Amino acid sequence: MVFTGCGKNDAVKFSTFAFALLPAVVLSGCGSDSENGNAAPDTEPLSGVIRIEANSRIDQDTMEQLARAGSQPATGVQVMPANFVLAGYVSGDSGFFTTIQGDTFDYRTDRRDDYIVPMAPGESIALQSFGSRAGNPELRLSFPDSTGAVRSTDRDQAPATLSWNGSNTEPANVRVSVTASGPGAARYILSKVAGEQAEQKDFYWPEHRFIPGQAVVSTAADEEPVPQGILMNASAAQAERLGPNRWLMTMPQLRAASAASADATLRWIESLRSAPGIVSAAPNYQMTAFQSMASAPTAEELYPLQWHYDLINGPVAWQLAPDGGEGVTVAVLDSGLFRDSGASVWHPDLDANVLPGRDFVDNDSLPQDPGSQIGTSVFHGTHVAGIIAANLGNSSGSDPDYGMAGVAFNAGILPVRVLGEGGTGSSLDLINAIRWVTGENPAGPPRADIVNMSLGGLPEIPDLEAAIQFGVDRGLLFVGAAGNSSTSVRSFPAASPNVLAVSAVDAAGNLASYSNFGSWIDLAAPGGDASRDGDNDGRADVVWSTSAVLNGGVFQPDHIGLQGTSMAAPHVAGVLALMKARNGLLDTSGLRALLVAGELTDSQGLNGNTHGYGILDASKALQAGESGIATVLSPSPSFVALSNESATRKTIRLTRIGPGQITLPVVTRSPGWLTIAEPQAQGSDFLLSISLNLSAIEPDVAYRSDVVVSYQGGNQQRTLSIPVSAQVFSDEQARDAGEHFVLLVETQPNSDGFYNAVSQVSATADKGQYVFRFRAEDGEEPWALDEVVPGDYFLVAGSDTDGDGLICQPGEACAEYPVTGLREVISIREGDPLNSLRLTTSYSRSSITAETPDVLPRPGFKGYRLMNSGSEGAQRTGAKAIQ
Amino acid sequence: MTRLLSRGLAVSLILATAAACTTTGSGSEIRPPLIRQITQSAHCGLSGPGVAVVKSLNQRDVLLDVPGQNMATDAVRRVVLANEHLIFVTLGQKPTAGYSLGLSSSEIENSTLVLEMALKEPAPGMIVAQVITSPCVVLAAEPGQWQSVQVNGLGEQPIMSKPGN
Repeated sequence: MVFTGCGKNDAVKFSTFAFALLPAVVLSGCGSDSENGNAAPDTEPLSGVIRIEANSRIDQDTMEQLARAGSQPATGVQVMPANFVLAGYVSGDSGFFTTIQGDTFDYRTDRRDDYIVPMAPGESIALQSFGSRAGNPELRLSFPDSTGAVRSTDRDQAPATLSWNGSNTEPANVRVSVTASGPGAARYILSKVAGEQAEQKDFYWPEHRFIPGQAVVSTAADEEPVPQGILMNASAAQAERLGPNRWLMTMPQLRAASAASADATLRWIESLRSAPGIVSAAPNYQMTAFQSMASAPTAEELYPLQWHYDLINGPVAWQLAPDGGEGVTVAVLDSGLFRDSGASVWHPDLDANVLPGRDFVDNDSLPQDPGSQIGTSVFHGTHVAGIIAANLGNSSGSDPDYGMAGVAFNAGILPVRVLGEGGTGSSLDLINAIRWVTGENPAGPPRADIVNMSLGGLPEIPDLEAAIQFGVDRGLLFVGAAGNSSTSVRSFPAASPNVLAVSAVDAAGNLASYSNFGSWIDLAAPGGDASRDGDNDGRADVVWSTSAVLNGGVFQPDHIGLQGTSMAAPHVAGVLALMKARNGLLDTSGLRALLVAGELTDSQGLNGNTHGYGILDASKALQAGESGIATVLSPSPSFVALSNESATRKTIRLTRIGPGQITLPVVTRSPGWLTIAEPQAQGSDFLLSISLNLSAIEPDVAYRSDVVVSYQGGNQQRTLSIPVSAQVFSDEQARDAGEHFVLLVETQPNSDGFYNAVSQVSATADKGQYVFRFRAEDGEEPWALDEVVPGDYFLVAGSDTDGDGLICQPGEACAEYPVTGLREVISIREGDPLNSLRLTTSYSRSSITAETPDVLPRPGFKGYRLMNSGSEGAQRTGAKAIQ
Repeated sequence: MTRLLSRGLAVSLILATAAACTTTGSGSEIRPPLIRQITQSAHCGLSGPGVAVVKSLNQRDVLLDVPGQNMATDAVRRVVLANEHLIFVTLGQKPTAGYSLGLSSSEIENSTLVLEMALKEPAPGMIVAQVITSPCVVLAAEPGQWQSVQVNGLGEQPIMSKPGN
């Protein structure tokens, strides 16, 4: 089929296999409108201009381009500027795949792309692969004209980087090759950037985890409690005050945090943003601007299952204690730890934190849990230890966030085996173990700071009490499981006055059906209840942690869900480890004082005879003792990027963290290319305004420095460095992000999760921008893809580098109106044209930062589906076949 | 508000509840069927005491696909149901570790396969892990000579498999 466009693409021919994903209408380069960069005449219902982000470039033989009849893979090189972000495509073979539209698509061989890149010694270039529907070949990045090393990567690996080590101090024009070394095709991004862009190279849509059913909301007025009218406007069930004008709101009928689906929560938050009385609304992310996802258990693979961490306010606590209990040792008196047969390491989620322990069952120094001889074991001690201190950041294969992390993810685990076959043991072994841990016998320093005993069933035994008392006198803290017999009969050692007795609650905070209760319970913590689904997440309320399961006849490290007061106690032990790391002097009497004062739990005073003083609240516990808590300023944003294309001035909010007083900060150092106003007080915060001095910097050169402020916080002199980057871009005319498809899509996804496109045009880059124009429906048959029916839509655009019928995938350009990542509904009405709309397209995706809190995550977003003549949207509008 | 898990309910319906039964006659000359123990587990995730005879893959998967169980499922899946029927005997939810269940003996009485079970509990005075367990044993038995199953030793009353199983 042949399609006729205009301007430089006149009479472009398309091969038949490219079906109708290819441009429906080519509008750019037509007439004086585009010459001047102006929008179309006002008679058109919808038109506008798409700017291209600075330094964007496109491979000259992407699959989208190769699909054109007669096109061949390029044999020459492309010359690149000093800084660029290029989207490319290589394929180690030819073949076909089925597109999302159900068509068969033939992809062509294009094994290698060559570029000439100005490289100064020490500069590096990065290659990131995204694979494609045609596989995930290994891509190689090399300097073929020199003897430099070759770096490889694929979709599942980190980007490959190569540094130029030329002897000449001047930049050299270096040939750079990207090669597909195996069968299959891949989209890729080749980049050499500095300054502002170097900080923004995220080519994936944000999928940050957030707590379903919750939103952090700013209100116009600061009234407490939040006015009922606002709650009604917000469709919120309750609001917890976070600070002036700031609230944590919960979706209706949901007591526990993880009770709603992610999609429902995002839709609710979008509706909140337009509700009267509400200034802003954002998901309750399991991170902050000051703490990366990788530094807290929220980043781990199993976190979505771990309702029990949300219930104790874990995500807040980990911000207050990012050290994760480092330096504190928790003795786990239990069944020992799982270890692969023949291996020299413990469970991979524990090994980094495990200290040399003791086995009182077998009387040796290897507290390994061999499992039960009769019946398979649940590896109880492994599970308990994981809740306390499974470590962060293990990877397994291609999964960088394998497994889970414990409450005190940097604390040491001292495994002490006192439970043998079937999870039972003797009181004598327990007493001897406590004496060993406390350093009573053999005499010596204590071997741990905290002792967790997820065991019980004993009466009061004087020798046991004496052993515990010895440890208490030495500053050790003891935690015990209250027991699972649904009785108020005291179970020791938990019932000892020197041990915190922990009962178990489900995900709704109700006492678990099995949990012991009574006036001797000190506090409650999540232990789960498999017969309930208290948070309505469709899963039984079990506690997830480390264990091992049979696989092929042998036990292998894994994770399972269990229930019991055994699971509740280690939550408390983990929080005590976080506290102890900040206040080494915390002892049992001090801990009891905090407990009675309601500082460790969600409630004040005794809460009946089931929950003791309430449910463990890790956040409150960490704020309980001022000792060890610093008073500091925290900047938001924590990194500032200025440019002529984004913002040339920014205001940084310095927020007080901690209980002490803070003096007015003073700027003590800043680069000459910044103009900085003196900090201004605003409430308990301070505002620092900085602006770019454009006359002081050279175009296309990346600048980076720090603004340093000094202040007194809690009677200590402190300094805070805020990194700032700046750049003036001048490559506007040369930018090209590849052929762009501009779509009007429906505002709600279909059952497959795609937003159906109902109208489509395409455009090529001209002088650094794309001009697009849709036509009003003319009411004549056949209908064309570029005809618009009045209605509500999202306006989106992007490139289809690999020709698979989807735009906006990682490695492809994407633009959304008005701002990518913050799409808004546009209403097209008859006689009310929308002209001169402006969008910006980019390979990078909006990340969620303190500066851009309104960007919402896109869990599972696959891109926008292009129309062809047989697509649903086209059929709906009766689109004609393109001739 | 909390709600009971539908899966848990479904599983408990499959398992017969304890019921009094009488056995008649003992003079059968029928050779006992070949019966073998496939696996035991401290934690099968099945919340009620009972017995279930499994003849189909669907029935089997309902019992194996219980969240939180820690059973040697691969061994169970290797049993060819055309040759043998699976018999799940569950002790039900127990408050602590230290419980286990095993097959002691078996015989056929009037087309009923009678299983004598050995139950092990934590000894008094022991410390025990405070984790909820649900011990079970999975057996495989030749079909043909028996129509129902009776389990002795789990409680005061024998437990019978559901009619038709």
